[in-house]
Amino acid sequence: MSAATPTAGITPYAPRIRARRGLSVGFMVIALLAITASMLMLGALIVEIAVDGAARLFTDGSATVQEVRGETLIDLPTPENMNWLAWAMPVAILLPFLGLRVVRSLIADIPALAERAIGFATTLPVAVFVHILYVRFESAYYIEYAKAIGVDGASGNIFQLFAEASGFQFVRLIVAGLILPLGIIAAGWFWSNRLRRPSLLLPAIATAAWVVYLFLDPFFLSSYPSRLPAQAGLFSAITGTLYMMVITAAVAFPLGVGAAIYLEEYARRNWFSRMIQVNISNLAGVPSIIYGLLGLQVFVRVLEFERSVLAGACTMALLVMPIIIVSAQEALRTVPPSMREAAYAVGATRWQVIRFHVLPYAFGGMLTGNILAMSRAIGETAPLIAIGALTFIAFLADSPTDDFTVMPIQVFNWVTRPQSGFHEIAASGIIVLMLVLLVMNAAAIVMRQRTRTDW
Amino acid sequence: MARNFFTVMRSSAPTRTASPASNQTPSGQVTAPPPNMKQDAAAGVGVHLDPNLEAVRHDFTEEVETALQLRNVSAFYGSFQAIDKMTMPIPRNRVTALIGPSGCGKSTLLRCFNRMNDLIPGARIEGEIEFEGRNLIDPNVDAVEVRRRIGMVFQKPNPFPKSIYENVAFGARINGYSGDMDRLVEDSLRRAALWDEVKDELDKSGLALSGGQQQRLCIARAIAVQPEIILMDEPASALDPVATLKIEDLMRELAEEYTIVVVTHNMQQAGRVSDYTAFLLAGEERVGRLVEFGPTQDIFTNPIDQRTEDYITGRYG
Amino acid sequence: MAARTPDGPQQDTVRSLLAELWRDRLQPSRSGSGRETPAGRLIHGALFVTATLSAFVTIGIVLVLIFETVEFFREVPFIDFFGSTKWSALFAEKQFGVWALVWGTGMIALIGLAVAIPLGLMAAVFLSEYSPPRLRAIVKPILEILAGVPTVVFGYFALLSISPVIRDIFGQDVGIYNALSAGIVVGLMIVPIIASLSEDAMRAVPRSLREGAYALGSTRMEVSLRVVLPAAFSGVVASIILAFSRAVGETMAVTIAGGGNPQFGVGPLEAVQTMTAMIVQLSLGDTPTTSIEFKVLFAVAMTLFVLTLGMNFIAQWVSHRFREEYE
Repeated sequence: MSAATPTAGITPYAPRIRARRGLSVGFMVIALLAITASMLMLGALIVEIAVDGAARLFTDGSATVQEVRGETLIDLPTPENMNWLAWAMPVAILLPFLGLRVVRSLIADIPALAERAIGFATTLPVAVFVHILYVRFESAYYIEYAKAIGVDGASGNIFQLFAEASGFQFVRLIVAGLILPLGIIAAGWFWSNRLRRPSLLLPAIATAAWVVYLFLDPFFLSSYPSRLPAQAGLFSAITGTLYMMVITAAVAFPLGVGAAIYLEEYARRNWFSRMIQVNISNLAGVPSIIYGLLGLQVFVRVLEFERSVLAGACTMALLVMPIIIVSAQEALRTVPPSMREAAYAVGATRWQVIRFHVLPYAFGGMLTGNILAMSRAIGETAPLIAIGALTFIAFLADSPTDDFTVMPIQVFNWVTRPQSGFHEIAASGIIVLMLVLLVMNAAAIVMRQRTRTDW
Repeated sequence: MARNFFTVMRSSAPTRTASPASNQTPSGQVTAPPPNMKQDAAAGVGVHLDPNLEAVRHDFTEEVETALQLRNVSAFYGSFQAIDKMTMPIPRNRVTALIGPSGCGKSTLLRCFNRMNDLIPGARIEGEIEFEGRNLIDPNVDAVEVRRRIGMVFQKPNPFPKSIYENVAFGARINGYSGDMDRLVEDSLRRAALWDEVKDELDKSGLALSGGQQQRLCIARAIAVQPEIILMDEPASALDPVATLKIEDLMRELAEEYTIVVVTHNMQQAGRVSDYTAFLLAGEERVGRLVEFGPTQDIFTNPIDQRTEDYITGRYG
Repeated sequence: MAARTPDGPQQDTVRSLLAELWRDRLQPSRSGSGRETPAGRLIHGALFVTATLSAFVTIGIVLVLIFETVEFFREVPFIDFFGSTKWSALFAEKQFGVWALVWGTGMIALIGLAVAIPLGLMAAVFLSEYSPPRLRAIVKPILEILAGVPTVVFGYFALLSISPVIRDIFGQDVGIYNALSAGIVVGLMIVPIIASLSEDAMRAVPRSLREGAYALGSTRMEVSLRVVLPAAFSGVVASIILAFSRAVGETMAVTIAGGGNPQFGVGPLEAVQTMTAMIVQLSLGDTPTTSIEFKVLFAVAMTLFVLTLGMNFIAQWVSHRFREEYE
């Protein structure tokens, strides 16, 4: 033992606890400030985009008539009955929920079936009411529209107007007229099933969608690119994106999930599967532009797809495949081994085990991964530029071998132009792009939560 | 500084006189369990004892200072109550063992002593733990200071992924030690009976040592900040018998300078190393309560409560 | 059971049939885990093909890049590419000094790291050590969404939001295209990578280490910075390398905001051009596939590929090699 026992006499410690505590708290505050500041910065940027881009997406209530490529396009004024309708809608949607709540508080222990019945009984009339209101409103709108463009709409027959309406307006008529009532019914269903969160989410989304829809200016979304910022639109980019996404998902999902199943369920742990695994994680780190060059040489030149939707979708499928594989593998790993063993124990073959026990369990997770992969693909620009997707597409792709453009390429094109008018519509394009991404991410999150089963 | 003493005299009135702490007068004489436990238990511990205390206490005549005095300590994790109203002293410079079956709140109680429970979200403590005249549980008392003065050794050895030297010096560094660091490290390692084994490889990672060595390194690490009390949470449960013996020897040695509270599963260990023993038991709602407290010898040879006897004779498992 | 199924001639027939069936089924299989039907084997084969597809993608990338790169070096000497700092691929007098592009790439990536490392690490430490679980449950998905924002959007931020601020600060003679604004948004882009991966690494540090440090009287910051961070060091370094690799490969934001000025040695307030931006620039024009401009595109891409691949390998190696093994 050393002679000096540390406990003897005054200890040479100076813990300065107050100072250190202050430092610790200060550190937390700084970290919190840094995080908040960066979030605020991003928030400010988003607000800036929203302010810049909103002008083209929403009507300001004034009627404008534009001559575009020989067609007369009319921006109708907001009908008078629209405003009260917009604000009455959230109330109308929330009423049945409140009603059910009151019933619940009055009668304890309602039987499940009765509760469901009450849920429906209260939501159904509201949904019907909404639909009737909508049709009345829309027919009034279209009578105005018909008068303005000189179609004989005096009869006010909505079916005739359907016939006259252009493609986009037709879709708008159908979708908005159906989605909202159906959304309300679905909300009622969720509510009566005691799934509280979706039941609040759905009316909120339905209301927001309704308000957005009422104020939305269809012009930007239904026009083709133009040399003049005031006439340029996102129509061909939206349809191109949709087209490409469908093909990308159709190619990438089976391939990625197949690879994941092989790696998780079939492959033995040897050098080969390790090599594939390392390879996949490296592919995830390859810059996207390099995939573009691969697509350029393989799909565009060797396979002669030309600069088509198909070439773009195949390139994109290769790009997102590592994401799909990895997330599908994770989903497969969550399947408890006891489930496989139970299935094997009753004599199922390996494929039967996978098909009937493993896949159904892991499918939700796989789908989530697929949605996230698609949301990555929607935002990717560089590889499509490399394979030569065009920006000035004044037609819609009819077949997978047609030329195409997508939303981010259109945005890129507008951002890089010097005129500030183009910068504004770039912001509008970004809003549309981000909304699509937001919806996809929300869907992925909801799906992840709903498919999570605890065993 | 107000020091608390408990002097327990046979059938004498409760006293609170300050007695010299240095002389340990072993008396050994244990009275027979009184027929009315509550009264006598209350009388035995004197002023500190809550009259509602249900736990049994042995009378003993050894005069010891208290290092910690618990009064009605309860602990909760969220809505779950882990321990209920424990009142007992922790004698200074002695080894006190907390024994009891799994889930009786031994570790929870131990973690109350240096406010480690603060780190668990939703955990809270009620009651009073008096340490040098202050209530440890008081939110105004700084947990960081408490932990510096009441060190802890954990069930599984948890050396930092740093060199042996840095492991020992860590606590001293953060606490602003201004003395000779090399000497402190050597001294601490010597006290932890590890110096001879590692003196030539102080730069080696602490994780490279064997399990028993790692645990002694953790003890050295705790000693280096010069605490007054060392809490040990089943320090030998992850070790082999030889390493366990070494740790036990170490505990006996350290008791000369430090107050040691050890949680153990192992009855033989409690019998070998501890001077005092507290037996804890969880009731039906899984709330831990103190059943019996007293000198180890008495608890083991002459338990008052039936449940203690059952446990000691192995009927609880 | 026996009472309900008395033995009879019919039962015997069934039994022998079953025995036949089982004998067939109980043949030892080669795969070792159950017999596979022909259909099962077909599925097995198909799945195997999908799994090997990823290997073919890698091989495809390497082949495509090598093919045109070799073509390029047939026309342009090696030394002119790697030994020169002058780039003028689109002028009459062509020079292909890749260092001019590496300079721009490196500068933007380093500015990005300078932004992202403090922010990302602070966020990681905060989320892993300080944050109550509820706040963490909110912030983490926000980080994920941030990581999913398309890079063109960041390009818009850089050009139309950040660049004007930089010009307000450093004077109007700073160009609207500059490396600083591109670097800042690249930094914002890689913050989620550093924050998320570092946080994972820090949360993987066993709880017992934290408790050991707290029991010695450490404050939260001392535990975070002196115990947890060093213990998670390999994961943190790996996350930074991966983020750097992402910054190097980042394309759209730097194309939009960086300007098209491939020059070696320019400062952060001037326009630069990265390797990726050069590839975009050459792709946007109608470059004939036989021209030297088309081939140099692949030589640049090859350089980029090797750089990012190397960094990814280093990151993997670091996180495996220097990981502390806890029991």
